[in-house]
Amino acid sequence: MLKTLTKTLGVSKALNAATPAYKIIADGLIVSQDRAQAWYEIPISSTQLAADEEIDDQLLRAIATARLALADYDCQLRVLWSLTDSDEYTDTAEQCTQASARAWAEARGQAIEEWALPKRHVLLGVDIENRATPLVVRSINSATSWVGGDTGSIPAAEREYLMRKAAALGSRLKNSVFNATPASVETLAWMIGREMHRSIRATPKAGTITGAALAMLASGRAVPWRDHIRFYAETGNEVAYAAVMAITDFPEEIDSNDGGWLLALSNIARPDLSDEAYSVTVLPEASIRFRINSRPSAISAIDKARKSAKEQRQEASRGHAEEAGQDIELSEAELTALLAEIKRGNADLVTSYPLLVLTEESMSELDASVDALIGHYAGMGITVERLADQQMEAWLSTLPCDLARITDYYQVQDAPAFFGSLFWTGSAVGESDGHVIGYTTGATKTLVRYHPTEHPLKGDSATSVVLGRSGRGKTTALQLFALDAAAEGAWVPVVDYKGDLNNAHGGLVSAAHSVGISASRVDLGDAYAGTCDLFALMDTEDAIIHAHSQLMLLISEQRRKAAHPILMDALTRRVRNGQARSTAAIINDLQHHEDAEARAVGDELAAFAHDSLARLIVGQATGEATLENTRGISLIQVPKMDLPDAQVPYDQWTLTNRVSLAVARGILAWITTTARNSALRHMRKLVVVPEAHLFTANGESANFLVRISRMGRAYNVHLLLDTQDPASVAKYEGITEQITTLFAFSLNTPEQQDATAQLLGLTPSAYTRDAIRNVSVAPDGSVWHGHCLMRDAQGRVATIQIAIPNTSIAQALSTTPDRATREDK
Amino acid sequence: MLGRTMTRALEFETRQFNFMDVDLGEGIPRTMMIMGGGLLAIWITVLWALFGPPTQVTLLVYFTIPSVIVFYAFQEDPARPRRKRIAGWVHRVRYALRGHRPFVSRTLSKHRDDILPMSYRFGITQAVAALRGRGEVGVWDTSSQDAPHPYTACTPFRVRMKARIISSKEKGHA
Repeated sequence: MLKTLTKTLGVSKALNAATPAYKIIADGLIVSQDRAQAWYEIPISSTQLAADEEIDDQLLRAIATARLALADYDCQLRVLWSLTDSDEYTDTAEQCTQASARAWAEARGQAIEEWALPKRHVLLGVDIENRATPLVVRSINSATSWVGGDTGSIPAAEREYLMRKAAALGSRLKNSVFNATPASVETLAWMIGREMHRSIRATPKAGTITGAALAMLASGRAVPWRDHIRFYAETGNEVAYAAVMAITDFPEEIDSNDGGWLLALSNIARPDLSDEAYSVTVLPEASIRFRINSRPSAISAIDKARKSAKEQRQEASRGHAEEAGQDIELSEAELTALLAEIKRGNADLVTSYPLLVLTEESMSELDASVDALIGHYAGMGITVERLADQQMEAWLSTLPCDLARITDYYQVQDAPAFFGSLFWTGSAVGESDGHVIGYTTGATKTLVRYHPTEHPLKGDSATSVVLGRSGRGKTTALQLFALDAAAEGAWVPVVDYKGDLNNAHGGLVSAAHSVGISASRVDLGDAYAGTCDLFALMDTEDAIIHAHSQLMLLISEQRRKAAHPILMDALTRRVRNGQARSTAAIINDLQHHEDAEARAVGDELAAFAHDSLARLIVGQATGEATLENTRGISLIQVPKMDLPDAQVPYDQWTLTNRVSLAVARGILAWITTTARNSALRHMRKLVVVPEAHLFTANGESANFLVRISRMGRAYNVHLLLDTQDPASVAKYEGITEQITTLFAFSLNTPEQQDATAQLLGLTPSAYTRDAIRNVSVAPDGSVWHGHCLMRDAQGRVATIQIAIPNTSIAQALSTTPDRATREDK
Repeated sequence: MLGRTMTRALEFETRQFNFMDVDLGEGIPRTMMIMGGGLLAIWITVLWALFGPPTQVTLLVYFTIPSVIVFYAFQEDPARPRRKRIAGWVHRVRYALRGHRPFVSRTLSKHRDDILPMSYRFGITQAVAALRGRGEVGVWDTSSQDAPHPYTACTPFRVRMKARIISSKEKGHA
């Protein structure tokens, strides 16, 4: 009854408990005068596009882990926010950027600063030792400190004991869906120090923070007003306004597949007070003290309440009232059923004290944010209450090593309801190193890294695919990835059959030069004559057969049989005599041959010298440009290509088909030979193929893609291709088997959407079709350039925004025709 | 996966349906009976001791008004879910007396210079501001533009210590 009375008044002994007096912070450990807490950091488990069954599976595994590891421990869950800064990237950028291309890494770093992304931290604290009770323990601890002369710390033996205990618990949490790791001492110092909104940092000595350094961390001034708290800087000025709120009501049933109630912390926005046309993100933090009740204590609590309800029902029935009231009867029925479930082991109870904290720089912003938060949760059926006259007590209870002080706002839920908050989930994808290509746009914003040239070195498959409709950002993404790889010193041939990687602002090559990346271009101009001549490109031992197969494509049907031995003889003679190797020289030799047939063959080949496409093979090299196998971008633009379709038989090929194939054969053979060159095996290589559907339509080019894809790991080559036709890529198992990373922009037809879903590792459904159709559509219905789905090497899928570092790079890489050019046309 | 919240099922109000063989009909909430009854008893006892038994006129003060207040106090507070009105009053008084203490250098300070002025804690400043028409001041004092700012940089201060000249003899010099 006393408990009921104190609950009615909303007061408890805990309200007046002493503030935590910290003794020591170490890796994974915070110890105060009264308790020791082990702290773990929980990284984001990406579940953005997970199916309901996958979410349920994660939830069941989380409950199983919690039941095993955390039952009967007092725990504290903290969800905190910081700002992503570019240091996270620039500290490692040197490892994937050559000195000459530092400007590229700087541009990437500058973009990260401008994004100002909020970074979520989820920390779990577990009370592993009570240092205050029994009294004898408290006395021994105090005496030990006094005798040792160090009241600002704890004995080394106790520290080791606590760290062993924390490690044992940590190993159970590590090998679970939480993947929790001990929080570093720097993280814990940040967590404590940030509460006072002062820029004090503490440097750990021998991995711990104690004494004066710890005292400085927790010092500050916080003044509670009736409905908020004000924090003051050293100068005495107000620097922050915070409001602490309690979650007072949950709906009776919560479906975790509707989005976790803690995951919702990332999704709250309000109008910008200075300009209501814009909205700002509201970032509330959470502090949830909870305890998973053991079966005996859960049974005891539920049975007690059930008996009370039963007693009420029986008392009412004896008098005029006859009935105790619907809420009592419902309670009794619910508690009886729950008791049976708990006894059978089918239900776990979690008692929690959920608090949310909002901090802003002005009162008006704080009030607006509080309203937005309360409104957002009201939409989920969850009541959030701004605690009046208890702000200081509520705020103290959010500090590590404190306790639940607002005890009347407790919640009792079953494990699926509590863990249905999905606090460990969010949106995360990408790799741990490499350049930052953008950020996730789901529930949590994280930097996305992509390092394709590292895959073969890790022994992984080496193919990435970019899919989607035209005009959504595929080719721009390809160019950005090419720049990243070239900045690292990779060899990056880019085969541009469409010819749009060049514009009035200079295109890919100009963008590369502007940031110190080596790049060259080969196109159909005079200067590039002879650049695709296999007789000149190949090594001596490979030149003859490659050149022969290339030149035979140019010979007419009538002369083929005769030309075969003539060409073989001419090529062999040049090689054997050690003469300069080029098709132009062969043509000259043939035109001056004593045999009339040889002269006819020479004349036929010479006629191609005036064709812009065929000139790449038969033209006299000017020496101005060649295909290089050195580091940097080699852009090969051949927009007039018309490769023969795989379905069309050879005898129906047009001359353009044959010339195109001969040029393609030259380019692809050069790439393949360079990739296979053992002397270049150490060099990172990224082969970039835009519009891969133009390749897959032709058997020879398709085989090239399959070959490069399959041999990638062996020869340190990564193949990166884009296509508007995922189905055409999906039919080549040789490519799809090797895909490690996939980027999917919008696609319109159900067939393409389903093919893409399968490539993403998702089960095709109405949900996935919708997600793929709308991924490049902005909320206002306009095209959302660069927004796509990404699947990384670990199979995680999330929506990301691929970001161009600055406007000048964006202009250079744009494949959209300029307005003036369009109007001219 | 569906999860359940059992808080409300555990938090029903128990009622007393009969008392000393007297049927109380639909029942009186036990907390109101015990706590409210206790407070009422204390009130009547104090008044009786000071002013003697109630008359027909003073019955209003001895019993009627306090009973109404007790009844009102133990109703659900519409502004604070799951709490009675009396809890809000208790917290209000607690804040004014104790809950206002700021967190300074890791403890709750009782220093006069650290805490909010009493006039603010007891709502006097807000009431005056409201009377002067400076915006609505309710439970949420967000009209903080009028609130005092006790911690301002470069506040002038007075040295209270008297200067004392120490002679060379006191210093121990020859």
